[in-house]
Parts: sequence; structure tokens; C-alpha cells
Amino acid sequence: MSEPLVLDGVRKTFRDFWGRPTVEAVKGLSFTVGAGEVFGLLGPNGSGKSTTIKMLLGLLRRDGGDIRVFGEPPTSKRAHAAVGYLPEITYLHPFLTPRETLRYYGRLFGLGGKTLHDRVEDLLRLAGVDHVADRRVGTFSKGMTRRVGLAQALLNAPQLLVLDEPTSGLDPIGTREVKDLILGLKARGIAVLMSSHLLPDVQDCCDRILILDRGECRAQGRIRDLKESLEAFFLETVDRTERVSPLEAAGGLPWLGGTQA
Amino acid sequence: MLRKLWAIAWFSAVEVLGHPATLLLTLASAIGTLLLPLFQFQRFSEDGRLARDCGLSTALLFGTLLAIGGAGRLHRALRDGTSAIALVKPLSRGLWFCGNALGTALALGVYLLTQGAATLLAEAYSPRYHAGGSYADVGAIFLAVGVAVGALVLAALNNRVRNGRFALSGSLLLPVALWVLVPFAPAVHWGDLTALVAVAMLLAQATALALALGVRCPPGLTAGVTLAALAVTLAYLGGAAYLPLEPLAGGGAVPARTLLLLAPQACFVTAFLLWCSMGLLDTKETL
Repeated sequence: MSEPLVLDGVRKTFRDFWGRPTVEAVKGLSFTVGAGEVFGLLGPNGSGKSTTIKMLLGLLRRDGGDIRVFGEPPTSKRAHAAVGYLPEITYLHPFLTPRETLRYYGRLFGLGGKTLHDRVEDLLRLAGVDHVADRRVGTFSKGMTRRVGLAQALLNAPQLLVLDEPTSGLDPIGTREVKDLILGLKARGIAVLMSSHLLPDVQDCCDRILILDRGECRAQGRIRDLKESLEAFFLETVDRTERVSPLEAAGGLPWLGGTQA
Repeated sequence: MLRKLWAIAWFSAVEVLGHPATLLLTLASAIGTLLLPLFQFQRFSEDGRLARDCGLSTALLFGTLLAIGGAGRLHRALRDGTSAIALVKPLSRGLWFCGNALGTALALGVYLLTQGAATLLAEAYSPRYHAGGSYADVGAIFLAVGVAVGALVLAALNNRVRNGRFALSGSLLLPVALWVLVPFAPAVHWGDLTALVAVAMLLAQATALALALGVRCPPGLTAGVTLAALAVTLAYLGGAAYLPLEPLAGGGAVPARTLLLLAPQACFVTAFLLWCSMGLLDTKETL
């Protein structure tokens, strides 16, 4: 049985209209995610996390290296049928209700009839939006939209779940529920790849992590092997600058401040 | 595959028909056409000609605007990332695009039904010579407008009672309401519908062009190029064949032979533009 996710020497360079390279977003990245494992992809803003995720989902073409999702190319229908995806910003159609949203995406998975109906109702309850299942998504808060997004990612009973900032916008109860869900899915043998800035969430859920910085892997390993906190390790790994207050770095900004007594 | 195609098409049609701008355009088009006979201050060579010609031309212009709206919707889905959630499902980009194109076509079909009914009614109620002079059937015109408003009232009730979408209900109820009146109108010129078929064929090509442009271009550019292409086609490239107003004179209809000659060209151009669109989408770097 193939590993859920294998990246080997993946590269991506963005180019302008004339084909000139502008940004080398990912430089020779390699990692694997095994079944029943929660893998954390960390990095500062602009490090290449979202680019990596889009490439492994087939939304972006890579310039080099290989990506295999359950042994298949990332654009294959079999790979897509086994993957669930929650994007960083949950763009759902505002005029649909959660129930209609899940039914629509369920049909794209080829689901129908009682199977689809039961699954939609189960996921509405799981996501905690069953009480607003018939309200338009456009009227929802960011956190509620996120919950619907998480529900659609589970419609096809994925074997690999890709979560981009899964707890972003959620209240503490929602955050705890999502973390419990991730651990529950892990216990059922489902592989989870999550990208997050919230290091405590990563520390609670992930088995292994990879720290990405400027498109390169800076560190990769098991969370339990860390001798210090994840935050300290992360800052040590990616923060190369001498720590200076942003106000001092910008020249003091004397006009910015409260009135003097 | 067909089930997925239909799901995308149905969803796209609902999104286009449910947009308030669609309902506004349809209302402006239908009610403007219905009221036209009231403002006809000279007699043309034939009773009802102004209403008929304007109704069909309005169908083409407003239909093109709706098609541009559909292309804008597609562009926004690709730009904002709404398409990404769909495209990581087990379906090809081509299928997703075809579903969207079919959905836009369905929405246009609903619009043409509305405008077709409005044209038939406006022509039937246009000024005709009677014993006392030439006058339009004012009562029937206001009844038709009232029926259209009634459709909106029903849509509003649907929203109030069942939380149904007002714009979607309105867009779907309008053609039903107007077509209920058509069999009761005096001297309905059914030949107009053959012209509407020809207009639909031209609209299909305009829609395909708008969708092709919408894959890569912003809505403003899509609108400008589509309208310019339509104007050039009508003026110089034989597009006037798709607006066959002369055969309709004196209660005539567009000959079936003409429609059979136009159909293959329309199908080829539409299919070619859609094929180009799928290529543009396939080579699109980022979704």
C-alpha cells in the first residue's frame, strides 16, 4: 500500500508574464506523510507552505521533483477521491446554505441518494452547524464558515486530510473540537497534513513537523524529540535577525503614541 | 460523469438566476418590451413591427449582458479561490468548465423564455386599426405588467414564508406568468419564435466567447471585447443573418432552411470557443 503522501525534491518558481523568474517559492522539498500520522507544515509568512499544499493538490504545477498521493500523480481523479481539503480562506458560495453546500460538493464526489443525505446530516452535526443548516453561508461569521469548510473536507471519507490553518477564526471551543477531531481521525488511520501558525495547536496534534523557510526545509523531525518548546525551536530555526522592536527598526515613529500627561 | 456535470450546471444556473442583477435585467427587458406599444406614436409598415423588432433586439443585447455576467462569475470563482474547493474533487477542469457553461446557457434559456413571451404579448397588444382609430390594447398591457409584478409578489411570499431566494424565484416565475397570458392574446405571431431560435444561436456564440475570455481576463475587458465582437459580427461578418427581421413581415416566420443553415456554423463556433476555453483553463497556472 502506497504512502498517503510523498514529496521528493519538489521545486517551484513563479514567473512573470514574460517567463522571467520572480520568486523561487519551493526549493527541493522532500517529506512523506504516513497513514495515521499528523504532519505539521510550519513556517513564517511567505515560506512556501501554501504553494506546497497547492502543488500536492494539483492546483499548481511544479517545476521539478515528484509528488505522489497514494502512489498517484496529484492531478489524478483517484488521488482527488482520497483527499479532503480545507483551504486557508474558506471561499464558500454565499448564497447556499450549509446543507446545500455539502450536497453540492457531495455530488461532485459522485455521492447521491440516502448515502449523501445521511453523510450531510452527520457532518452538519459534527461541524456544529446543524442548527443553522438552512441559513445562507453569506450570513455566517468566519468561524462558522470555517466549520462548514471542515465538513465539506470530510464528505468523501478521505484517507488524507489537508488542512490549511484549520483553527483559524475558531473560538476556543471550536479550536478544541477541531483538535479532538484531528486526533480522532488519526486514531482511525487517516493521514493529516496541517499547516498552521498556531504553534500550541501544532504541538497538541502533530506527530512530526517540518519547518519551511524561504522555500527550503530548515528542520524536520518528531515533536517528542524536541528538547525545548516548539515555539522556542521554531524561532531559533527561522529567526536569523537580532531581536529589535519594530518601532525602533522603523525609525521610532514619534508621531505614533498616546497623549502625554 | 453526467451526474457531476448536471450538479455543476444546476448550481451555476441557480447562481446566475439567483443574482439580483439577473432579475433586474430580465425585468427591465420584459417590462420595457411590454410597455413599448404605449409609446408608439407612429405607425410602421405593419402592426406590431416596432414591438417585435425591439423585443428581439433586446433579447440579443440583454442576453449578451447576462452572458457577460456569467463569465464574470466564472472569473471571480477562479480568482477568489471558490473554484479550488471544487477542483480538488475527482473531476477534470474541463468537466467543471463545461458544467459552468451549461449552467450559464440554462440561465440564458430562462431569460429568452421570458423575453420571448414579452415580445409575443407586446406585438399582440400593439396599436392596430379599429373602427374608432389606431390604439394599443392598454388594458391588456397593464394586465401583462401586473402579471409580471404578481410573479414578483409570489417570489416575495416564497421568501417570506419558506425563506426561498427572491431573485431565483422571481427569475423562474416571470416566464411562467407571462406564458400563461400568451395563449389568450389576440393574433399572436408565433413566427417570432423562429427568430428567437436564431437569436439564441447567436447568443450561444457570444456566451462561449465571453466564457473563454472570462477564464483569463477581468470582467471589464471581457465585456468590452464581447460587445465589440458582437457589433462587428452583426455589421460586417454576416451576423445579421441571425437577426432575421424581414422574413417575419406580414405574419411570416424564419424558414426552417435558414435555421438549418445557421445551426452548424453556430454549433461549430460555440464548440470551438468552448474548446479554447478548456485549453486556457488547463494551462492556467494558479487556481
